[in-house]
Formats: sequence, C-alpha cells, structure tokens
Amino acid sequence: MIVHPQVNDHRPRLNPFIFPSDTDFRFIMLFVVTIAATLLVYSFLYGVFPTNAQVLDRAYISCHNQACVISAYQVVAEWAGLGVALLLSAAGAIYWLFPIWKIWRGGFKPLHSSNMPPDLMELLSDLCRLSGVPRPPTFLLNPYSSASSGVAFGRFGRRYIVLHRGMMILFQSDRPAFRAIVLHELAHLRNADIDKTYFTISIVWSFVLTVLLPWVVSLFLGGWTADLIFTLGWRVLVLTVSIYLIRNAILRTREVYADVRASMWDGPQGALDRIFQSMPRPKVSPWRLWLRTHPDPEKRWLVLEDTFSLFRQSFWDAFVAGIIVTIILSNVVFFVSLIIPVYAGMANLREIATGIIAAPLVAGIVGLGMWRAVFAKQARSEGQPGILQVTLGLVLGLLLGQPLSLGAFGQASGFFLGWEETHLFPTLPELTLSFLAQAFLILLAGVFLLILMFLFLRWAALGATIWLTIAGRAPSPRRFYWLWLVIASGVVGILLAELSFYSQISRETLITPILQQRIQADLGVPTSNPVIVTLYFVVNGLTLDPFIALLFAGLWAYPLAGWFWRRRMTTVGDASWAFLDTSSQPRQDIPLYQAPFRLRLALIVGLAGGLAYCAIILFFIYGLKIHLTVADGMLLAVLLQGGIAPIVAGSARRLPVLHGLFAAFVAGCIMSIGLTAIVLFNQDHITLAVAWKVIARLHGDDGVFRTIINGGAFLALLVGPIVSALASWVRRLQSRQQKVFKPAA
Amino acid sequence: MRDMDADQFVVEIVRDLLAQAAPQELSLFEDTCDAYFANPGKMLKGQEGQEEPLGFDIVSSTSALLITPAVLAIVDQITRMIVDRVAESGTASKLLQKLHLTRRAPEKVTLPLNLTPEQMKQVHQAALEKARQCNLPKAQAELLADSLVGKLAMMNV
Repeated sequence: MIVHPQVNDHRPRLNPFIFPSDTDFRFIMLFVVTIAATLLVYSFLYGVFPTNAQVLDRAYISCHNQACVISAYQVVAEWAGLGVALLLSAAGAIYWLFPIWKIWRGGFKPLHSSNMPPDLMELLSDLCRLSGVPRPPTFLLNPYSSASSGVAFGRFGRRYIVLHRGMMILFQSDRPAFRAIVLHELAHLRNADIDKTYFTISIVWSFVLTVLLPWVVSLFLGGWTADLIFTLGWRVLVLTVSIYLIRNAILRTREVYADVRASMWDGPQGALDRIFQSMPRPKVSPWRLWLRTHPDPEKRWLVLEDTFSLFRQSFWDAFVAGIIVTIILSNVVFFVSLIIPVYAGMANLREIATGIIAAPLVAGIVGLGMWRAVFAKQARSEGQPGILQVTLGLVLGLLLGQPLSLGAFGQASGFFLGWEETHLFPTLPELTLSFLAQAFLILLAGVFLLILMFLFLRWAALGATIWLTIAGRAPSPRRFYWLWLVIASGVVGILLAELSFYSQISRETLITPILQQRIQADLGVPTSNPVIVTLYFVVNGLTLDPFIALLFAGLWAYPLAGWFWRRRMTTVGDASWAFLDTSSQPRQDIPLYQAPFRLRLALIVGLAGGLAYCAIILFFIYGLKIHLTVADGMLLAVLLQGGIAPIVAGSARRLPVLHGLFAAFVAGCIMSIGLTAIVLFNQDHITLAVAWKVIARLHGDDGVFRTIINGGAFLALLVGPIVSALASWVRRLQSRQQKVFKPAA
Repeated sequence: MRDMDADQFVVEIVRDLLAQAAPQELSLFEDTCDAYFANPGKMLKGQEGQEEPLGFDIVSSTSALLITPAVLAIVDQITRMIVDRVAESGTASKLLQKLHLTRRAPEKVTLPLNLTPEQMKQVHQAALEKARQCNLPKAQAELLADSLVGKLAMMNV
C-alpha cells in the first residue's frame, strides 16, 4: 500500500478538458511521421530496381531545365504516393478487423443475465447513462483472466468494454470499486481514446508490414552497400523505436485523463482514490517503465487530487516534439521537391508548403501547451508561466532531429541546415571555406531559431492571456483557441519555412563566388564582401516576400482584436469552465484591471503618418521640383514607419510593440495607396488599362506594397522594443520619484 | 453400468465442489468451463494477464482469488487418469488440437468407477500435486482433494 503525503490544500481542480490534450496532437504527429517516412522509403525502393535507376540517371543528365527534371521524377512521386496509399489501406483494414480478431483471440463472451450476477446489467446501464456516452458499448466477459480490471477497444460504430472474470467477483464483494473501474473504461469512450489509440496501433503495424518489410527484402535484391544499409538502417531503427516509446507515453497520459474524467462521475465519495492508494507499484526495472502503457499508481492518485501537473510543459516534451517535427519537415520537403518546381517569383514555395504541413503540430503541441500553462497560472492567480525551458527543448529537438531524418540522408541536408559539399572534388581552401561557412551558419541558424521560437511562445502566451480573460464570460474558450491555432499554424509555418529557405540559400551564396557575383550585379550591391552580399540578398528577399506581410498581420491582428471585447474581460478563475468541481461559493464576477489598449491612438498615428508621407512626396515633386524614383519613395515610406511605430510603442503600456506594428501597417497601407496614386496621376493619359498597368508594375514587378509593408514592419520591430523598453523605464523612474516626494499621509 | 461424456463428468464434479468451496463463482461457471475446454493452457496461464492499452492496468490490479480454473484442471487431470487416456491421435489431429481448431475426441467415463483404495490414494495424491502446480493454498488444496475423493467414492458404487 502506498502512503501518501498530504497533497492539495483542497483547492478546486483545474479542468483539463476545456483544451485539446497535447496527446491528440501527438497522435497526429505519429501518424504524419509514419506517412513521411513511408514517402521516403518508397522513393528509395523505386531506385532499387536497376532499370528504374538508369532511367532516372539518363533523364537527369539529359534534362536542361527544372521542369524536365520534375517530369522525370514524377514517377518516383507517384510510386511514393502508392506506398502511402498501401500503408493507409493496410492500416484501415487492420483497424477495422482488429476488434473481431481481439474477440476471437481473447475468447471473449458477451455478458448476459445467465452468466453474470443479478443486478449487474442494471448497474452497467446506469453507468452508461451517467457517463453520457452517445451509444452504450457492448460488454464482454474475459473468462481467462482473474484480474479485477477491464479493457476498452473497438472501431468506429462498435465499442466494446471487456470485463475480466475477477470483476464479477468484485461486483459482489466491492461494488464501489467495480463501479469506479467501469467508469474509467467508459471515460476512455467519452474521451474518444479508442479510435486514436487503435488507429495509431494499426498504422504502426501497417508501417512494419508495408514499409519496413519490403525495405528489408530489398536489401537482399542487391544495389545496397553495407555503408548505405547502415546509414539508412540506424535511422529507421531509431525512428521505429521512438514511435513505439512515444506511443506508450501518449497512452500513459490518456490513462490519467480517463481517471480524471471518471472521478467527475464517481464523485468525492467514490472508490477511485482508494483503488490507487491500495494498488501495488509495478515490480519492473526502471527501463521497462518506458514500455508500460499505464503510469505509476501513485502518479495517478496525485493527478486525481490536483490536476495542475497536466497543464505543465516540460523540456523533454518539447524536445521530443522538436525531433519528430524536424524529421517530418526534412522528409516532406524531399518529397515536395519532387512535385513542386521552383518558381522564379516564389523560390521558397516548397519550404512554405512543407512548413504549413508541419506547423499545426508545433502550434498544437507547444503553442496550445502555452495556452494550458497560462490558463493554469491565471486560474490560480500565479502570474505567467516560464517559456525558456520549453523553447530550449523545442529548438534543440528541431536541430538535433535533422540528422535522424531519412530525408536528410537523401538530400545530405536537413530542413534548417545542410552539410553537403558544393563540388565533387573540392580543393583544400574550398573545403575549409565550406566547413567554416557551415559551422557559422549552424550557430547562426541555431540562434535565430531560438529567438524566433522564444518570440513565438511569448506571442502565444500574450494571446492566451488576453483571450482567456475574454472567454471567461463565454461558455467555453474553444472557438478562441481554435482560431488562434489556425493563425499560429500560419505564423509558425512561415517562420520555419523562411528560416529553412534563407539558411540554405545563405550557405550556398557564402561558398559560391559565381552566385555572389550574380547577386551583386542584380541587386546593385556596392561591395563584393560575401557576407554583405548574402545579407543584401536575404533582406531583399524577405522584403519582397508576401508571406512575410501575412506573418506580421497575423502577429498583431489576433492579440489586438481583443480590444473589441475589452469590456467582457474577467478573471479566468471566475469562468464557469475553469474548474472540474463546482464550488459552493457563488461566482464573484470581479472586473479585471489591466493597462488599456491604445488601438485608437495607433490608428490615428498611422493614418496621420501615412497622410504626412503623401504630403512630403507631393512637396518634393511639386514644391521643390525634385524628381523622386519609386525606390526613393519606398525608402522614405519605410523610414517614416520606423518613426511612427516608436511613437505608438512608447505611448502604449500594453502590447506596445504590437501596437507599433499595427500603426506601421496602417501608415504603410496609406503610403502605398498614396504613392500609387501619385505615379498614376503623373501618367499622360489615365484610363483603366493604364491604371491597371501602373498597379501591375508597381505592386507586381517592383513590389511596392510588399516592400513598404514588410520593410516598415521590420524597422518597427527593430526600433519599437527599444523605445518601449526606454519608455517603460522612464515611467518606472517617475513612479518611484513620485513615491519619494509624496508627503506622508 | 452407464457411460458418461468425460467433459460432462468433469463439469458435474467441479460444480458440486464449487457449490461447497466457492459458491460465488457459480454465476460464471458455464462460461469458465467452455473457455477451459477450448483452451486449458490459456485458462491456467491467464491468471495474471497482460498489460493492454486502454485497460485499467492489469499488472497492478488485484486479481481475485478464483479457484474454478484450478479445480477444473485438477478434476480434468484426475478424470484423464481414470479413463486412462492413451488414445493415440494422429499428428494432424494433434496439430489441429494444438491450434485450438478442434477439440479432443470426446471420451467416456464408465459408471460406477470401481476404483480400488490404492487408486483412490493415487487420485488424492495427484489432486494435491496438481493443486500445488496451480498455486492453490495448501489448506484449500487438501480440502479440495478430500472433497474430490469423497465425491468419487460416492460414484464408486
């Protein structure tokens, strides 16, 4: 028997069911990583057949453009797609047939009145009604096991709960315990664990049968060297073992959620507590605990008493998520590059497509994890959760997971960092330069990733802080965080994609003199220094990228939109959905004091700034008769935004940087329209066709809107925090001085 | 004299024994018997169970002290001894039995049993040994063995 210390000063338990559990996203992550690995393995399997390899080599040599290469490799993509279709079909079949097989294998019998104690069916019906499951499951008896336990399983449309033989005796000897165990199994149905669990099991089995097995067979067909087998093999082994361990970790967490759900029905006088206290700890060696699908009984009891631990994010959770996500990214980009060509105007389209696929996992696991952490802290009035540990875990996972991916092996390059040489036979200076450039870029990429992910999590926490207080008066916070999830997926996808694209391009540029010369000529860079040329290229690319404009809009729009519902804000602890156990004390509805939004100020300053810009341009052209080029106009617009944003950032006490970004955006829009109008009015004839031509040239070819908006946003992001920090420091100084000089009452 | 199906013989004896030793297990008796005859090895091995996803944690759960499988195994073994099971099955049918695709060919017990006192002693000893293998407590094993011998003695005439 476990002796427990006194836990929980009887604070009400936080409700873990208002947010999707991070295990839901981890199930999806396992699903996606299995598909991503399948795409890669089948791509490799295609080349195992000598005729296929020869055809591809010939096509690659004879092709003179990218479209031709893509066309040749189309068949590889189709082959890989077929592999995925086979994986999913087999998984679907396993999932569908699994319950039948389990019933046959286990020798389970349907429960009926002749083979069970009296009143049992009635109790089971009552418990099904209490649990609120839409359709009662079929109860089965396992005559082979004397354990006092049960198991839930099934498929879509068919749910089963097996009660072991020992449960029949428990029903007669300890009915509250029987009730608690059945409620636990019903909780798995209510938590929708069955489909997620058994589809995950099915897809893992399908992966073994339809991917691993063919790959092992292919090793004997020739064409694989020992080096190649080892290089690919250890990655496959690590991936398979990781998937298995992650699956078990997810299942352990699902047990805890089922316990909490069951405790809501079982009530404070129920037997669940007593059962965990009397359960012996499993007698297994420490490393075998990783293989178990059930947590330690003591941990289960602790969580029942206080659910706070379900809201914490750990370094290791984020680290594992980072590793798996980067494996997905590296594998998917390999496949995407087979089917999406590089377009002249959107060279980063592949990375964007890949980033958008993986981004919901990052947003769902660590982003929503931040929401849960903020909620838990706010509900207990304990301030804000820490971000640094989770950021470090995530970034280390993203970086260290790259060599593990099959895609990295295929391309000699991870999603963020590459390590390939540029020539087949490099000279010593080239090799040294390559090594130094790569080491520098690894460091730089790591630092950038750290900053970006820290800022992303900080932004997630900000959004959660604002919208949870608004959701306090709503029946549920669901629509608020689902909307955030959509926006955050876009934000993270673009961030990861841009970092990947520009780190790869920068690496290429730094070590390829021909590329440097071309960029210098195209962009008119005044120097041939490789670092400065690369920087010019990166800044130019980011400024012209429409996805960057979307990214910035997403950053300020979601938090600042809270201004429209500012009067509804209340403390999270007063929300009806915040706690599991209804409090006997009446809801207090204490209005929340926070520093006000300054959205009107930002709008007015932005409008004024935009109009001032138009006036300045007109003064230069018609007043001073100075000819300004479009490039001069864009530069002036960006610089002015760099002045507008700090004005607002210095004035706003709440979300100052985001207010500054918003003001810069408003000003940038006015400036773009103004500049377009001025150019248009300087045409000889103004017709619809001429107007369309001017707009297409300015905003299509020259990228005026993108440059003004993005350039202004970057400058605002650079200057805004500095000014806001200074303003905050001055306010604190003034506040202290006022306290010093205030006469004593 | 009359012949009785051996499995039916086992069921009747075990039912009588359980009625005295563990009446609370009678509600599950029929299903347990069916399961035992379908797969005796699994029935006896399955006392501890295996951890399964979405279960309650079978490894840490308490197991009820159910004696039906053990009693079935004891009486089954004794019955085979009595009937002197030396029917030589072919390799194919043994394989099918191993795969639980067929059951053993039904055998018959001839009543009255006509067991000698020496044979009764052997029965008692075999019952005790089997009970020990099934991990029954010593006192319970002796009680069962005595009850079984007493029951067989009643069938001896």
